[in-house]
Amino acid sequence: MKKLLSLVLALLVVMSLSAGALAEEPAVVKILCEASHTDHLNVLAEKFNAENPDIRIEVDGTASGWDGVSTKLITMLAGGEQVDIATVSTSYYPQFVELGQLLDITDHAKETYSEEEYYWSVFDGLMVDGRLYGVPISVYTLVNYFNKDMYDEAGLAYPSLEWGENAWTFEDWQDVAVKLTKGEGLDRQYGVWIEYQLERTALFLFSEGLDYWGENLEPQFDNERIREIHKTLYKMLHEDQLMPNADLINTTGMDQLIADGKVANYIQGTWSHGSVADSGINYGISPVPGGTTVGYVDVYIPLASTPNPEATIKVLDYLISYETCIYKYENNIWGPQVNRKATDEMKYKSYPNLTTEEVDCLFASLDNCKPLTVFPEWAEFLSDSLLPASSLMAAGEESVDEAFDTLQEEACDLLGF
Amino acid sequence: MSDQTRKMPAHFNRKQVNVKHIILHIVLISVCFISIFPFIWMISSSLKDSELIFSYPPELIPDPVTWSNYPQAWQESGMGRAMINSMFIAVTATVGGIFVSSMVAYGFAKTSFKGKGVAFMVVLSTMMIPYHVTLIPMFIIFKKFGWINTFYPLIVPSLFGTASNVFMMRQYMLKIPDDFRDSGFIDGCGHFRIWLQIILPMCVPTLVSLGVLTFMGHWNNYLGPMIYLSSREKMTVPIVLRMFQNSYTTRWNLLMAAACIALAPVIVLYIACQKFIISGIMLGGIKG
Repeated sequence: MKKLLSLVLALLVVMSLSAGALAEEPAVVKILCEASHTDHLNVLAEKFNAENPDIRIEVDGTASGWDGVSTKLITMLAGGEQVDIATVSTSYYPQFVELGQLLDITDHAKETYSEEEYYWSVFDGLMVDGRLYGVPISVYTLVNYFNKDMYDEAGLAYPSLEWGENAWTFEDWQDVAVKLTKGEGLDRQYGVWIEYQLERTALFLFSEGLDYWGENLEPQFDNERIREIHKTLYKMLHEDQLMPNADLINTTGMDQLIADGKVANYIQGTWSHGSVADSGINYGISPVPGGTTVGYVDVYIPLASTPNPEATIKVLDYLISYETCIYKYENNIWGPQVNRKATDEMKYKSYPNLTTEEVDCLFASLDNCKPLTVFPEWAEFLSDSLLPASSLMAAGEESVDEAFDTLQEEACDLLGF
Repeated sequence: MSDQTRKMPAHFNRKQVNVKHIILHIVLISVCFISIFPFIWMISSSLKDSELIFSYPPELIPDPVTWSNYPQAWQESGMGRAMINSMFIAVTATVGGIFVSSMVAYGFAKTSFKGKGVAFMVVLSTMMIPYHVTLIPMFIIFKKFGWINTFYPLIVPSLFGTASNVFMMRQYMLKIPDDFRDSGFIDGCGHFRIWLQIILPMCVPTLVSLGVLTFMGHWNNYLGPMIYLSSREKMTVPIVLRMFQNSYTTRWNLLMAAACIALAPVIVLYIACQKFIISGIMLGGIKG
């Protein structure tokens, strides 16, 4: 009888131990990311998993491009497949907010992400009706890269490093464009370049308090001043040829034109810093004309359908933590980070080619950027209307008035005005 | 040729023929060059340094030749694993799909049953439904089966045959006289043996040509693997190729090197089966 009792007790102990082991199964947090984020997220996940035995991060990086992630995410959500966190671009963020698929993290963010430690201006750009549904992966802004040798040769002073009201103006930029353009044919040197893409050229509107979207998102493509600014750019591109045209860029590539010293000023995102640095030219960084730039924020979105909301939020905290941002700076992953403390510590080390003032200027762009106005239909408007119109104008196949008339009509139809 | 020349009218002299031929050849060579240029550019770019991809003026012959792009593309992307995965999916789905499609085609071509015409129209109508429309319902079904992150969703649907293959094979089988089937019956065969031992061996050109086209479809399928697969060790070739291209940059030299590697099996298969491909498609399309 005693033996039997001992056996039963032993069995109970074994069962309770295995039940305990089952209870300690880590909560799985699945991250669906754009393919190019996979490698560093795997490294971060491995580190996190080692330090947090109660949570296990799994990374799915099979989708390439933001459209790929969006397609896969929508399919997985519709199919009831678990996704806890996904990476999306600014364009797709409002669409998922509108679908009601995201976890509201406003209260947690306000309690956890202090203004001392994080660039809250970036979080503000992600607020929808005062609520926050994601955290920034990285912050990209448009800045002006300039070729110092070309400025020196022309005897011109470098652009001011000041943002805001004291920055160089649109007119200063045009003036420099004329002075630094010379030569003909293959030997032509161009004063400036900005991609003739309306999402980019929005920065020329911001300093004048303009935007493509007015109150209640009413389309402003019929605004005379907005058209006038674009007509000036159009003239600079097609008539005065102060910028390389689409044909030259398509055949030669901007990287090559920069490396060959064919373009003196190059307005592009901070994501291009690596290629400018690799080009071997003697370059500097300045604010964009007008002193207010466009901000692009890629976002980690937590999904409302997550079975593990607490673990998901803990992973989100980790993904923008000081340690993670330091790791990303050390490995040159995705430009300026949202963690102010890590940024202050690493920013000069991350940009060895730039002077201290230029690095400060680059990071000051975070405080002088205006996020693009996006809305749930934005991704559709961007791919079906804005980008095609931009391409037609860049190729000189449509005038500004023709393109903007179409845009106004399509935007009004889409948004019900 | 000499007979044709002798039969030509007197005013149609040799000089005119030559001029015509020369113009024709110039046009054909130009068209061939335009068609083959992207392929040449791909090979050329796969052997260049990244900085020289868009050099101006463009250079088709790389100098220096960067062979290291190939091992680098192979190692960085996990191309070996991806090719094994793609090969497994493409071969299994193609062989199974062609086999079943030919069976269905036999049913429509060589048997009589009530509602055959309607059933055939229903099969054909499935060709009109875009893949994207069925993506979410299919995903839900496969999730219920527990098939997410497995190769089953990429293989099993093909094993039920595809409408286009059924249609092409039926057209080909209609050309085969019913006497073959009837002689099979006289010898005591049932439908299955007639299909397997009499009709199928006569359909080899169509089977091969459709096999190659189906294989290429599976080999190049990007959307399916992207949706259904999630772990790195299960990635297929198109997924791996896209990884050289992200939202901000494209590593053209490595992408082109990887594309050359990915293209090799398809080219070998195409060359090996070339004579069947055109004849198979033409013969299948002759009789409606």
